[in-house]
Amino acid sequence: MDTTNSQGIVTVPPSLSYFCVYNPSFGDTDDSQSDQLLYYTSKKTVPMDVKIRQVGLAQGLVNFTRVFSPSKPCENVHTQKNRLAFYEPEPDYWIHISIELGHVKKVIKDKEGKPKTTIDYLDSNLHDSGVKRMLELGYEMYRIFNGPFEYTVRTDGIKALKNKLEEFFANWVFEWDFEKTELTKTVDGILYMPLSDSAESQITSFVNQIQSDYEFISDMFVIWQNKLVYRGNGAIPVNNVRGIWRHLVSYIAERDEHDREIENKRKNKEAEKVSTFMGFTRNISGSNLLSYFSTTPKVSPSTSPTNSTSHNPSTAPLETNGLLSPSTQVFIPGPSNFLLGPTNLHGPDGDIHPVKVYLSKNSNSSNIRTVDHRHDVDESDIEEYYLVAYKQNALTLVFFIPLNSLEGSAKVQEMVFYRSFHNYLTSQSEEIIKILNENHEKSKKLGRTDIDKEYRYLFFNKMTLAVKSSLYPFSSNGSLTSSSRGLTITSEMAHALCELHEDLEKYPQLTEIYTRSSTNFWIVGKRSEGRVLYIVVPKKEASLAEVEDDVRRITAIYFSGDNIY
Amino acid sequence: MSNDHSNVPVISVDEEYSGYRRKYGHEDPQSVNWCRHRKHFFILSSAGKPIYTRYGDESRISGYTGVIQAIVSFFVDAEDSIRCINAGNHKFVFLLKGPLYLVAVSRTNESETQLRDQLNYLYNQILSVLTSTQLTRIFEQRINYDLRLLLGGTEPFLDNLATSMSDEPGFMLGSIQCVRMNKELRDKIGSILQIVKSKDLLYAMLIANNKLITLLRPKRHSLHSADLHLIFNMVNGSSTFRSAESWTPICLPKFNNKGFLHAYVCYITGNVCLLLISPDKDKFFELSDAKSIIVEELTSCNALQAIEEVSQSEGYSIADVGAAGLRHFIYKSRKHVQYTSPTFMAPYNDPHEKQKLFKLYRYTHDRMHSRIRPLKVHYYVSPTETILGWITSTFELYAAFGPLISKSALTNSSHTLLKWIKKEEENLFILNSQVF
Repeated sequence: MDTTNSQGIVTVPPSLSYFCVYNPSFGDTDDSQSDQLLYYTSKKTVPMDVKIRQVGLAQGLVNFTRVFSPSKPCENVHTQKNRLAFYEPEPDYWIHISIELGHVKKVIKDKEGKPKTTIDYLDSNLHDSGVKRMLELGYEMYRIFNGPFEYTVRTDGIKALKNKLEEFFANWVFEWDFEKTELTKTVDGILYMPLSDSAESQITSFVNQIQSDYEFISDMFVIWQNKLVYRGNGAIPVNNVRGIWRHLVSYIAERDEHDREIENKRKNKEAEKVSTFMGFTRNISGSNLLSYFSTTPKVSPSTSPTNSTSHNPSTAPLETNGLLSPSTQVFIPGPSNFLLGPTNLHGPDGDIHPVKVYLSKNSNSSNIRTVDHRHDVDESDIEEYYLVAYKQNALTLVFFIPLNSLEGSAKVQEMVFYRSFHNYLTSQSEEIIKILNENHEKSKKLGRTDIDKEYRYLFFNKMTLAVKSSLYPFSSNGSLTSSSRGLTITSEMAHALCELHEDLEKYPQLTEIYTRSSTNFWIVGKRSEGRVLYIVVPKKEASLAEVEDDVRRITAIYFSGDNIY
Repeated sequence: MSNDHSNVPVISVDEEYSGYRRKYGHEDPQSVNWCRHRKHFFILSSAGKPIYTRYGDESRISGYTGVIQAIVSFFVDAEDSIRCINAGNHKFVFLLKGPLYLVAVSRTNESETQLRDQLNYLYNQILSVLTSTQLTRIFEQRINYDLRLLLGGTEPFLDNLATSMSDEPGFMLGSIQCVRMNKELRDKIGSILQIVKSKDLLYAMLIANNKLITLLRPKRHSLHSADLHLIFNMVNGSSTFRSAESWTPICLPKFNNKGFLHAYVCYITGNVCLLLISPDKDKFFELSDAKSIIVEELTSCNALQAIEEVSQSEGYSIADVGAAGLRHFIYKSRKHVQYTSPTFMAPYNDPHEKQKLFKLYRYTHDRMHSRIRPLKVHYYVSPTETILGWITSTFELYAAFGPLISKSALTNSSHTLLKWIKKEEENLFILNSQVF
C-alpha cells in the first residue's frame, strides 16, 4: 500500500508484562488466595487484586486444558497482543510469564484520506521454544544456588523461599532480551575445547593428581578461556554442568574485563591508584547470569575518587542495587586468584563466604529432571557441594567439595587452607597452561578456510550439550573475529533457524529438512542420533542437490574426527 | 476424492432436530472417551450457551462452554483477544466472530492457521443457513438466545463438514478439484448449459463426487472456492437430493453474506448432480424446466452417458504420470484455484496411511504458507517418506517419494510430473470457466 507514511512507522520490541511464581496449594480459599503468590514482578505497578486475578486466570487456563491434556496442561497462550507461558518445575510450583508482543505502529490513510494508526503485533517473531528455554534456564540456575523450592519451604519456611526468589529473579527478569532471536540461546549448549589425545591424557593426570593430593575434592572442571575442557568424572548431570559452566564464564568475563582495566590504568600511568580502585560485587543472584549475556562488569559504587577521571564508559559506577542482600556482596580491594572463594587471602576467616550449590544426582538415562512421577521433592536426589574456583591466565579450575565431607567442610572455612591451596595450584598449573595454550593455537588454525565466509552453521549434541557455532562470530568483547567478514545472519534467517529447530523438536523422526526461503537462502537441518547440524547456505541459484553437496563439504571439514561432536 | 462418509448417518434436510443420531452423541465431558477424540469443534454464543459440539451432546457441555466464555471474556476485558493455547500435543484455537465463539481442540498436527481456517468454514456453514444479518439481529434482540432452535437440522452438515476437512486437502488448499475429463466433452456440456441462460439463473454447475465437472457464471461474478465448498458440503451432507428435485435457500458468504440465494438441486444420473442457483426464491418451476432441457440435450448427443461413465471411474493413478519414485502428489494451479491428485494407491488406500500422508502434507503446507516467512521449497525426510513442497508463482506442489530417493532423482522426477501436468492440463483443470 503506497498510503503508508514511512515516517509514521514505529517499531516496539517485545517486553515483559509480568512474571510470577505461585503455588495454588498455599491458599485454597478465596480469602487466602494471595498466599499462593510467592514472587511477582511487573513492568507497571499493579494492585494485589489484579495480581490475584492474573494468577486465577493462569490456574483457570491450566485446569481448562487439563481436561484434554492431563499430563501436559497449558504451556503457552497466544493472544493478539501478548504471550503467556507456564512452567511447572516442581509439583504445584508454577513459573508464569506474560510478555507483550513486539509490534509495528503505522499511520496510514483510511478510505476518506484521514490518517489512522494501525498496530501489527508480531506473534511469529517470539518463539515459544525460546521463552520456554528462558523459564527453564531461570529455574535451573535458581536451583543450583538455592536448592528446590519445596526443599527451602520444608527446611526454612515459605518466607525464606520468597526472599530467595526475590533475590534471584529481581534483576534477571527485566534484562532478558526477547527481541533477539538466537538459535544459540534456544539450543543452549556448552562450548567445549577439543583436545588432542596427548593433551587429554595430560589433563586427566593433572586432575587426578589434584584430587589425590586433596581427597575431599570429589570432582573438578577445567575451563580454558570460556570453553570447557574437562567436565568432571560424570557424577554431575550434564544440565548442572552447563549451569555451573555458564556461571563461571560470567565470572571469568568479569575478571578479564577487570584485568583489562587495570592494564589500561597502568598504561595511563595511574597504576599506583589502581590497587585501591577496583572492587567486585559478588553475589549469587540472577544478575551474574546476566553478565553472561552482557559483559558489563559489576563495579562497586563505593570505590575510589579516580572514577571521575575515567573516560571509559564501561567503568562508570553503577547504581547500588538495593535488592541485593548485603550478605552476598563482598567488596574487595584487589581480587585473589579465587573467582569463587576468598578475595583477599590475608583477611580473617570470617570474610570467607563459601558458595554452596545444590546439584542433582546423575541418573543413567535422562539427566534433565522430568516432571512425571512427581509427588515430593526427593531429598536423596540433592547433592550439596561447596564450590571453589581458581583462575590463572586463561585457565580456570573449578572444585566440588561435598558438604558431607567433614574435612572439606572445615577447610573451606579456613583462610590458611586457601593460602596453601593457592601456592599449590600456582606451581601445578604452569605446565598445563602451556599445554592448553598450544592446543588452543593448534585448533584455531584448523578449519580456518574460506568456507567460513560462505556459510554459517550451528552444531549441537544433545547428550553432551556440546555446541559449536559460527552463526554469530563475535567474540565476547564485541569485536569481530576473523571469520566474521563473510555472511551475516539476518533477522529473517535467525527466525527461520528457530523455526527449523522447533520443527525438529516437534517431529523427532525427521532426519533432514531443507528449506528455501522466499528471499532465496537455504537452511538445512540434519540430525543423527541426538546430534543436530543447522546450516545456512545463502545461494540463490543452487539446486537441492547442490546444497546437499555443500552440506557434505561442511560436515567433512568441521565434524570429522572430534569425538565431542 | 472419496465420497465415503458411510459413518455419518444420512438424513434429510427437513427431518426434525431430534431425529438425527450423532455418532458418539451419548458422550459428555465426564466420559473418558470424549476427551480422547483427535479433534473437537465447539461453537458457542458470546453468552456461553452451547450451539454445536462435534462429539457428545450440546445440552451436556454447557459447563465447558461456560469456562470458554469466561476465558475469552478475561482477554476481551483487557482489550486483547485470545487466539491459541498450546498444551502438550493439544492445540486450542479460538475464532471470535461477533456473537459467536468458535473453538477447535485438536491433537492432530494441524497448525493454528489451518485450524482457524477450518473454524471459518464452520462459521460460513452457519451463515449459509442464517445469513449474517439474521445472526446479528437475533443476538442484538436477545444475547441469551439459544441458537440451536434456529439451527435445527444443520448438525449433519456441520458434522459432515468437520469430517471432510480432515479427509480432503481442498479445504486446506483453498481450492477445489475437478473431474478429469476430455476437454471436448467438458466444452460440449458447457455449451449445453448455456442454452438455459436467463436472468433468473446466476450459476449453473454439474458436480460428481465432490468434484466439479463444469461451472457457468455471470461475467462479473466468479465463485469463491469457500462458497463452492459449502455447496459441495450441502449436496454431500444429505441424501434427500438423490431422490428428488429440491429447492433450498442458501447464503454464500463470499458472494453476499447478507442475503440468500436459492438452489435448485437435482441428480441427473446416479453420480452427477445439477445445481442451478437463482437470486429469486420463486423460480423453482422455471429452473426445473431448464433442467429438463439440459437433460434432453445431454442425452441427445450422448453426453449424459459419457459424463456418468467418467464420474464413475476412479480418476487416474500415479502410474499414468510415469515419474520414477513418485508415490503420490497434490498439484494446485494457483491461477485456476483448482487442484489435482491421483487416486490413493497402496499403501495410501489404507485410511490410517492416508491420514499419515496428509499429516506430512499439512506440515509442509503450513511452513510454506507462513504469513511472515513463506518458503519456496520445503524438503524433508521421514522414516517412511521424502516430502517435497515447491511453490512458484503459478503452482503449489506437494509430492511424496520413498525415504531413500536421492535429491537429484527426486528433482528429475518432479520435472517429469510437471511436464505431464502441462500436457494434461486442459483435461485436469477447467482452464476457461464459461460465462453466461
